[in-house]
Amino acid sequence: MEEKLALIAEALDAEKELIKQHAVLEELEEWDSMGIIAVISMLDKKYKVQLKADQIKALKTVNDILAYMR
Amino acid sequence: MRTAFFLPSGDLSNETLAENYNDPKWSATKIYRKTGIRSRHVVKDELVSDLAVGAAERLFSEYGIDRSTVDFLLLCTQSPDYFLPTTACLVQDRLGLPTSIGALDFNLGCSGFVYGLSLAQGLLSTGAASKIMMIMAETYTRHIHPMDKSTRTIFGDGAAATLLDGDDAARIGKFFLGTDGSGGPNLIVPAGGMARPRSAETSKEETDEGGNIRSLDNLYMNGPEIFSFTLRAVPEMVRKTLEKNNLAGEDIDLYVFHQANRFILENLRERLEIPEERFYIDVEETGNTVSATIPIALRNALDKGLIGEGSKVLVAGFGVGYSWGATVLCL
Repeated sequence: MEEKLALIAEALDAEKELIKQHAVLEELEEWDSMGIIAVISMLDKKYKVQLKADQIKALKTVNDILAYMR
Repeated sequence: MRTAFFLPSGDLSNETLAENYNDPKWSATKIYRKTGIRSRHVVKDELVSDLAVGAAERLFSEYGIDRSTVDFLLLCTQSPDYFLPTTACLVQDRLGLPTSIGALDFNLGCSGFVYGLSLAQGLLSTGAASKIMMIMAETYTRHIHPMDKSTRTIFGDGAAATLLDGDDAARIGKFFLGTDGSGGPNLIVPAGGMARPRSAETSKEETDEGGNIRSLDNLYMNGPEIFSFTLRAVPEMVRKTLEKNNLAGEDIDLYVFHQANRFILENLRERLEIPEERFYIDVEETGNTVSATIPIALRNALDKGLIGEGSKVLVAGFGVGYSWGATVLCL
């Protein structure tokens, strides 16, 4: 779990302390179009997952990203 | 493949953009790190036809081509001079091409060059044409609001002209083409066509959550979704194109994809496990010139000696529409 949270923080270029399971993405300054693209890139590279438009829209919390990291 | 390009003289650097945005998240260094682009050529008041004529004149002079031998003009643009008449007709006149030729526009973006090759191959193989001037000309910056960072940092203007005859047609391989109009709303100029004519209403500026300003008259791009689409569509297209042409990945001397931006290209390269030396990235000085990126890249790669007579080049375009296409060129 810690590793996965670190991957998300790294992708977003965000402080590790901010990336908690229940953190609301919209409240993170780094969650802008560039940040979202970096997370999509990470999911593709590390987990071979490609999100569709509605799946991207449905990402609300860090947990929602973790759900694709299996 | 004989190709030449023309870029407008206006230069838009990251430093200028950073000054305009005055936002620490969009410093000159950060823009370069995220996009791989240092500067873009942008029109001041030139039209797409001006860029098209510039590219064609360069092609004539650089390769010593007699313009009276051209018998078809294909022009790809999404920023035409007028709704009508056809920009290709105006360009025929300005170039002094014979009136006995065929000329038409086709409306595609990032996939335009590959689709143009497929049209040219068809016209040449039926004998409808014997020497085609194919021009990719785009002034996307005219669609972009200066304060929309999501698009203004990426796109530049430019045009490229390519000459294709029967010998060239024989060197173009089999095509893989794709279309998915359900992605249309993710890269769109919402107003200005018949669906929503321009009005005071459509010119109202709005600020989105990223602090970008645009109106319905401007280009809108859903960056994350476009990026995700390329990851879904492009790797599969490349594999199928190789298969259709009975080639293995290592048979290709150079992969020349649509130069969207460095970040997308790096992601695709890693995903397809293509070694760096056989994958071309060239966005630094021109940015994303839409349909012109592939022919500009081909000419630059030829000039640098990365490819030459007999090289196998896989070209792949993907983007607005959604529309995507690829083929293999044997130079």
